[in-house]
Amino acid sequence: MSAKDVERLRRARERSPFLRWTAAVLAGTALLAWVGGTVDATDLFQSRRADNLVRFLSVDAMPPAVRDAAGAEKLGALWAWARDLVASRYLSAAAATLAVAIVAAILASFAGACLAPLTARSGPGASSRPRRAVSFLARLGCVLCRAVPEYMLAFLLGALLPSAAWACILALAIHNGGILGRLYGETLENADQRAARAWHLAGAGRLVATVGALFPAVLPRFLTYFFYRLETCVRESTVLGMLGFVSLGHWIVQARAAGHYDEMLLAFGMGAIIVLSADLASWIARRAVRDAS
Amino acid sequence: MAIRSTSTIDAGGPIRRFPLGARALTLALIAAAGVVSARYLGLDLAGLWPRDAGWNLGGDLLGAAVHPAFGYENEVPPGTPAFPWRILGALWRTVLFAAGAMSLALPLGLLLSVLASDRFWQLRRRSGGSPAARIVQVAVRILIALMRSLHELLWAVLFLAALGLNSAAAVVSIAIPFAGTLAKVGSEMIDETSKSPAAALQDSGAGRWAALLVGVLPAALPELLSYAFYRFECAIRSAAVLGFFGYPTIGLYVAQSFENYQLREVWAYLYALIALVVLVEAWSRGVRRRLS
Amino acid sequence: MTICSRKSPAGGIGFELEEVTVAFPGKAALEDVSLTLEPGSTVALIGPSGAGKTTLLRLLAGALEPTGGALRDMGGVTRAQRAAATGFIHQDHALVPVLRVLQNVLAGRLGRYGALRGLRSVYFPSRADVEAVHAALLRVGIGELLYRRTDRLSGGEQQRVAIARALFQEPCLLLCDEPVASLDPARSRDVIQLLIDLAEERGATLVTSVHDERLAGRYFDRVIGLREGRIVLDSSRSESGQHEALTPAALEDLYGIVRGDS
Repeated sequence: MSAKDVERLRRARERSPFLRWTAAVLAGTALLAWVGGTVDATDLFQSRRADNLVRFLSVDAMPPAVRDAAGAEKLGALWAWARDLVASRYLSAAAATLAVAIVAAILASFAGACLAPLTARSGPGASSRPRRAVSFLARLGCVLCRAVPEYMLAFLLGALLPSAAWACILALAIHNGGILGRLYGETLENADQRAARAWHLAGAGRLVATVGALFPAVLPRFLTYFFYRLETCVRESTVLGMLGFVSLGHWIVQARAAGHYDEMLLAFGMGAIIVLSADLASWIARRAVRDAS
Repeated sequence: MAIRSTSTIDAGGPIRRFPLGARALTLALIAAAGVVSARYLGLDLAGLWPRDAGWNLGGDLLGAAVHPAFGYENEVPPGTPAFPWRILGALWRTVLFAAGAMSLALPLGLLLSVLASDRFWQLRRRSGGSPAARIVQVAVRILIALMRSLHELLWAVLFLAALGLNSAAAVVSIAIPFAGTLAKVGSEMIDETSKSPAAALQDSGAGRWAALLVGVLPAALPELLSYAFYRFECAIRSAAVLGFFGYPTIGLYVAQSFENYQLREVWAYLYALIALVVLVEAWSRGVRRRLS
Repeated sequence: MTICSRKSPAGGIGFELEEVTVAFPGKAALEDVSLTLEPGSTVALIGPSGAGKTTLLRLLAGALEPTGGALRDMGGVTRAQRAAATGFIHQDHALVPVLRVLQNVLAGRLGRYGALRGLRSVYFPSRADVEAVHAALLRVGIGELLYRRTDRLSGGEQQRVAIARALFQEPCLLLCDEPVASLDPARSRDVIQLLIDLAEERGATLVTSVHDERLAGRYFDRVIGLREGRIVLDSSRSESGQHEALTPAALEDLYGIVRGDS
């Protein structure tokens, strides 16, 4: 009796075939990646790789000055080598990396804020047919903007524009502008609409009502997203330098091409430091915004 | 969620301009940083204006955008797969690289997110708390920060230099920063779950790991899996770019065709990539809707 | 490993509290509480909020240690056995929202089964486990909800899941924190009656905090009034079935203006 009931309830239980299929497809794809020959894990454990690694660590990654120095002087030589490189190249490259990220994040944020009233499916007159079409198109635009990786965008724009810095900034701004347009739009949707409606009823246009009444309220949220995106921009900016302008990525490519892996590793360290400090600065700024609002 | 907006619009209250406080100061600082950065880079609007060569390329590129290639633009050696097959193969390998990376990043990120969370360490142990707990947690958080501090392409370049061209190394290079990001976001999600279910299970005698696996993780998992799916989309983009470094994903063909000035082929690859990402995005939206 | 059962009606866990104090930083939640709780008795805790009712329940559950005095249980069982045989129905139900009702109820035996068997039972339950859960759900009147997701249920249904989880533990001690705080009078009586029935069927000791002293007096063997961490009222049902110590004056004294904060 009870067993029958249990079986009936089990058959009627709420299930999601969509999620089950998703899990199965993803697991199958991951498995195929490892066993299908596309990703060759065994190759990683061959002696050739081990030899490469040993050579890399003992020879390539060792600055010549350090290798030549005797015992106790090695540390001093390492310090002198690193200091000279940082002072002559990497400090200014790190500054350029940061500068590109900051300008790009600001442009992306501006683009996102302009797109937000369009992508948001709320506000005065939101349910009208043309308004819904605009919102759909704006959202599609956002998806397209972020569909192409920054690196590819920068690669194409770099061939087009005379300034490599601009190419990287625009690439970052387009990609992140697409993301922020969507996030800012969702923020506007979730904001309290009453003020905007009041402005609209008092005769303000739809745009004026949205910007004037809602933006001040959602500013903290916008700023929080801005700082999150600034973090990713700094991270991306370290690699976009590989495409030309004089940032850390540029020196990484140069060092790699010349086989100076010691210098490359130092540039990596410098990149890690600016990424970590950008994360820290962003965290502090987000807390400040949160506490002030 | 975390942000309250009390100072500007209260229901029925007067509408005020935002006060000249911390927020205005933040905006001013951001603007100043932008101006300083632009000056430092020597940016001017002329840099946005293509030169003659740029115009020619731009014209060709735009023209090619309207007429993407459906077959090879030039003669190809016999035995080369048909163009649509090459596109699909490149897309498939891109997805495989991304899926391989996520298959490493998800379990690793999940483990690290547990170890980095406060909630896990708050679970009582039968043997009582140990001073090492805090040390382990801080060490894991530092590890996560270090994993995230290098962009996946830099990890890829590092492995290229240390090991040579190896597809597994490429997958690992995506997996490392992605696991770090999953761990960081995941530990925040775990800490946002309610304390009481796990506490109740522990009161009835459940151990720490049982309380974690039944009382804590299930509550955080739907949100975490939605986020992981979004990261899968990001991994596809990263895998695509790995092609620029010689791996057989779609970036390789974009770069090759671009070098050979076969711009219509470039657009065919780009459109295929865009279609893939849009498809995954739609899939991701379906997953998010069902999980939340 | 059933400690108490229908066969031994007085097999519930009893307690002896000797001048027990529980102090949190800056505040004592219980002060010098001396009390004997008979095995198998049904006890209601009443008193204004902040009086220490929840602290006393958590103390009995073993989630808190007394900072002064002594607490002895009369079960002759180990600490782990006592924890596994203590069903605690929390005010917020303490259910895992994403899991199915089945899994939430099965989780009640994690303490008894230990980690590995417990986890297997929650995520890969045997047929016998599922039927036992179904029986527990039928007993609290929600058998149909066996496979539903817990966060899709109403508050009242979730409470019954929490009761079923406690019941599934085969408890010797049932503790409930404000089980009727958010229910209307008719449902309140139903839930209290259900708890009393479940405790009596098993011979378990039942300790419940309630806001409503009339419910307390009507259903429970014993009513204990707490105020500012001290016992100010202790009434047992007399031969005639009445709580003679629950006088209006005593209640006024219990709920009268609370000195100090809150």
